[in-house]
Amino acid sequence: MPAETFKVVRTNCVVQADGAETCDYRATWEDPTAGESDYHAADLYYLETKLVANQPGQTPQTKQFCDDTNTPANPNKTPLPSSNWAMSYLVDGPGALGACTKMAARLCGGYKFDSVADANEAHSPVDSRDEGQIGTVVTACANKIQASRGGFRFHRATGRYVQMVTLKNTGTDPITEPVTLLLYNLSNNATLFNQSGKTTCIIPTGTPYIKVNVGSDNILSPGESASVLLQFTNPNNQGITYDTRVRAGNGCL
Amino acid sequence: MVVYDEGKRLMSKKRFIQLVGYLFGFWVLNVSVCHALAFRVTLDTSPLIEHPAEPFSIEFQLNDGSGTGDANNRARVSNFNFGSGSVGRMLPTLVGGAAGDLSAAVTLCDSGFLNEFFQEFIPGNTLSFTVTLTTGVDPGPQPDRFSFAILDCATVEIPTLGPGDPLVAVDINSRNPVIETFAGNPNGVLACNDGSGIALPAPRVAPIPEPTSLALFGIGILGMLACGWIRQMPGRKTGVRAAWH
Repeated sequence: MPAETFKVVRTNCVVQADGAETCDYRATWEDPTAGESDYHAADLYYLETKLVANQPGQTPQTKQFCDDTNTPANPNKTPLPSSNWAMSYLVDGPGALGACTKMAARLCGGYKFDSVADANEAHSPVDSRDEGQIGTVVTACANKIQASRGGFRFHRATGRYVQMVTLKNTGTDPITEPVTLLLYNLSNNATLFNQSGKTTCIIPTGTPYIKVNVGSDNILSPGESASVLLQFTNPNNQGITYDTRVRAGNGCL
Repeated sequence: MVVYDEGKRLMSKKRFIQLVGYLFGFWVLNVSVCHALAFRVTLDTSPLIEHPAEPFSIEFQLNDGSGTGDANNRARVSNFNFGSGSVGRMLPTLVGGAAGDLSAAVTLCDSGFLNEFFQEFIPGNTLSFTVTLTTGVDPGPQPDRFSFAILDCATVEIPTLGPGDPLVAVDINSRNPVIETFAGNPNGVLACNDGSGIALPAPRVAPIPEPTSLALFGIGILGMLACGWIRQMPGRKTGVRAAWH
């Protein structure tokens, strides 16, 4: 039986002023509670990662998945309540992912890798890819998007402060959606009313962000601008301040 | 030897005066040309005459971008002309660094984050006024913003095509900022009576030389002329020549 709910996620991501991002990563999976896990029976799990090209021209880091030279993962185990042997697993990646990285991850196991003598060889070598379980994480590349802010107007119709922010691609390469404007250190008196969400993978977590529509072609071409109207609630009419980061690319925010 | 030293001293003094004159002239010119903006706003208000969303109010905001209420900019709105209309009977509402009324002049200073003025008016065929706006650029990423709107009977903006429903807006992000104008949005909804938005045309804006600027400009020119006059003083050449020959 395969492992279940194998996932690899980004965590503790830091977005620099130029949009370049570094992240840690974390993998989780579970034993099946019905039947026996081939991975579990092998006694050892292997979380294997491989860098792949995230941008044209990048050279991926080659690595053989699921071979007998791989280093076993040492996950934290928590018993699943519905079984007397099945576990849920969590393992943090050994190091941070640099900016502009794309990493594929798979879970390996089976007798071939078993360090325990006389392990049940009925369990074939396994590779989570074969069960459709492969994780991919990406970190954003630096970008040449310049953010320019307008001033505030108190919009009596909504009781909110509005501010236009314009993003311009000052580089020579087109930038594909999604483009996200992050508002760091937003003053405590204000809340971004029309936020798309708050960060869970980017630190500090809880940072509000808003997705920016870059046009019907989904591309911010060199020299092109896109505007987004921010709406703030600010019941005490105090000054609104914040810092911006513009992130381009997919991945948990 | 004595003549030489005297001539050198005289030359240095006159050069100093000349330099100060030039610097003053350039400073005054710089201040007068770059640190204030004056323009006349004219708006066709005939669509508002006897409109069910009466009474209307004229609203101005000058909001601070620094977040500290740095009071580095001021707006003066004056020379109101209501065409066939007039000022309303209600007293103005003043928030933050706002003062004045429509019968004379309105002033706003960005001493608070929100600085707002509004007062009822009875619209006529046209409305015009003069805005004099200082253009001190805030050091941070957010500029101060001046804006003008017309409020309906719920004291809510008539919908326009601009962000936050202004008819005129200026982000003070340079010493010569852009003046934006926006038309009314007939597809919007009035807060006053849930009626349709009003098809107000975008205001016309005409830059005008600010009287104070003109005066400063004149002073600057006089300063520069004075420098030239000093340079042409007979004693200057005599003294210098006496010194060197």
